[in-house]
Amino acid sequence: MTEPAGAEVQREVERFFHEEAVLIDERKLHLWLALFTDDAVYRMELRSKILQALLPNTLPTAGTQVLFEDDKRFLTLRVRRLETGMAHAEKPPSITRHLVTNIIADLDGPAVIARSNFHVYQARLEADDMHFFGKREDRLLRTDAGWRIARRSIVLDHIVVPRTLTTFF
Amino acid sequence: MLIDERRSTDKLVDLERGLLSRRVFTDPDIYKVELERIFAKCWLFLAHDSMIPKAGDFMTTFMGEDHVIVTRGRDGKVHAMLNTCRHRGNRVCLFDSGNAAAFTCTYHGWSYDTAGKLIGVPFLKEAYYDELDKSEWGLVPVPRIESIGGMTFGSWDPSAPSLTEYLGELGWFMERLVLGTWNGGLEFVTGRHVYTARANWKIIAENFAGDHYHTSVTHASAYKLGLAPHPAGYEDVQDPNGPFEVALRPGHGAGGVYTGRPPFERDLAVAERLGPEVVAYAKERYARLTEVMRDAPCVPYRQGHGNMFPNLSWSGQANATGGRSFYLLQPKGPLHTEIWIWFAVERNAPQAVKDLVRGQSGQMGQLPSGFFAQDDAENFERVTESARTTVAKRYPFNISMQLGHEGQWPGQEKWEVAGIPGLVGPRYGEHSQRLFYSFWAKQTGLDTEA
Repeated sequence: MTEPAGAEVQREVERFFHEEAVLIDERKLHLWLALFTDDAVYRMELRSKILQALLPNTLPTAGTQVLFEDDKRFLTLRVRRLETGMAHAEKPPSITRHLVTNIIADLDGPAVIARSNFHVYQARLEADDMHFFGKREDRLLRTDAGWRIARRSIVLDHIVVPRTLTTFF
Repeated sequence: MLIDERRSTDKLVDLERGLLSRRVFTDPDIYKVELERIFAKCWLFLAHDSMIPKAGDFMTTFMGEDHVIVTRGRDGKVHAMLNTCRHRGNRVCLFDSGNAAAFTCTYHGWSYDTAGKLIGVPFLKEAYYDELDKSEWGLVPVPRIESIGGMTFGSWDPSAPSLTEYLGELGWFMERLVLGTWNGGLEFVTGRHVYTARANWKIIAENFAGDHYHTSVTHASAYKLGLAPHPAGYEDVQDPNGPFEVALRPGHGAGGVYTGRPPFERDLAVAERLGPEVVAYAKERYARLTEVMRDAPCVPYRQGHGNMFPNLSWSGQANATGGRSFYLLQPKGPLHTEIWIWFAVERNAPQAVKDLVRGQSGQMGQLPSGFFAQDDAENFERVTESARTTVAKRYPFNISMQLGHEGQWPGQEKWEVAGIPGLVGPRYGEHSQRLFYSFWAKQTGLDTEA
């Protein structure tokens, strides 16, 4: 069972997410990777329009085939790939802006479960701007070095993904 | 005007000189001809049995730009019909998939059963005086439905050749390598992914059909990270066990074909990391494959990518520790393609293999999160853009690699590829693309009518 985190933890989590967004947008990606625990899982699912017996008010996620299910080793490989100079889909690097909002921090034992929404803007070569919307649920742990992400579960709110996913969420 | 411009120039597909007009990728008139003569005639992928296993299960898809419902009827058969109400045309099904007893239009309430039969018309007696013949007003059925290895295909052409005839030389590859029918066939992982590329469907389809040439450049970042062996010089890509690119009449291609024992032994090394159960499975599977391939002494073991004309592509390993991804390239105008992606594994594979390959598809593969898709998609978009602009589109693409040297192996004696159907060529050759575009020209009739 979770319970609402106090105002202080709520503010700490908000600041943590805002600073994390700066690291991605300024492409300080190794500093960003350091925000994840060594056994972290980075997962992303997509929604699907599945007719169910009892139609809920939200669409379910598409199923067991997920977009991302990375451990830290592979997440690090994604960052290293961008550094090869051969990742053509990020050549030149995209301009991104991560807006993280609607943050709700709850306590779950020693961890904080933080739900948030995001809007990620991505500019590429010419007039091919992209917008991604979705939600995240993070399991955060407090360490001596600050908050760390032990698990990030992302749901992308697109029926059709507008572009391949070359940024981080 | 646009058609006149086309007629004033050379052929769109010039196989003698190895030239391809850029206009095939962007001309709106050519695209309309494709919808009529390719997508409303050729056999198109509808569904795999494991997507709609039970009576009443359905999924929706597109055939060209036409939206269709594919169902498992009460009779156990696969049905497919246009998703448009016969009264005023509204969609009668608004979901990607599910299970239903009937489809009811949200406009006036006409309803249809899972075989497309009109079963309900509000106020039939009072408003229509019972004079409407319901048997005449069912959903428009796809007239031809046939299947191979659990994969069901449909064609709008009542006089189309059989699916087997249409598959031609691809049928052999489909059953033995792509679909693994001798090993229990495939099961599809739940869920379909869709992303958009601002690219013409053909530039994607021809890549899967036979373009091994791009891999060491386009996917260089993956090689640089050590995720796949990097072919440096030409000698590195000339191995007597493949990979081979195979052009399959009438218009298909299957590439990345590896033969003989070495690819099995590489597979076995992966199996050893997954445990003794997988090793035993891989060995037993190899023994049975050798038996299945007894008419092909070179024993094709692995098959990496391919395309069934027009728009069903696949990639993967098709070995004991690999899966397959299928891509349905849904045209959305000449400049846009939706890439629909499903993931499948051999039904008989151990759970450890299923778990491994499911994870790999989002990392290395062709999901929008995969390394390969990311770099491919951007190339496809820029190629399409180049085919649209005024001056650039006057200059044809070059599809001449190995033209006039088909069946030759640079620097090598001809390799032993006995028993493999089709035109077997080396890793770097455009024989599959030339076959793809020659079949395209034949289907559209645009070059012969000019």
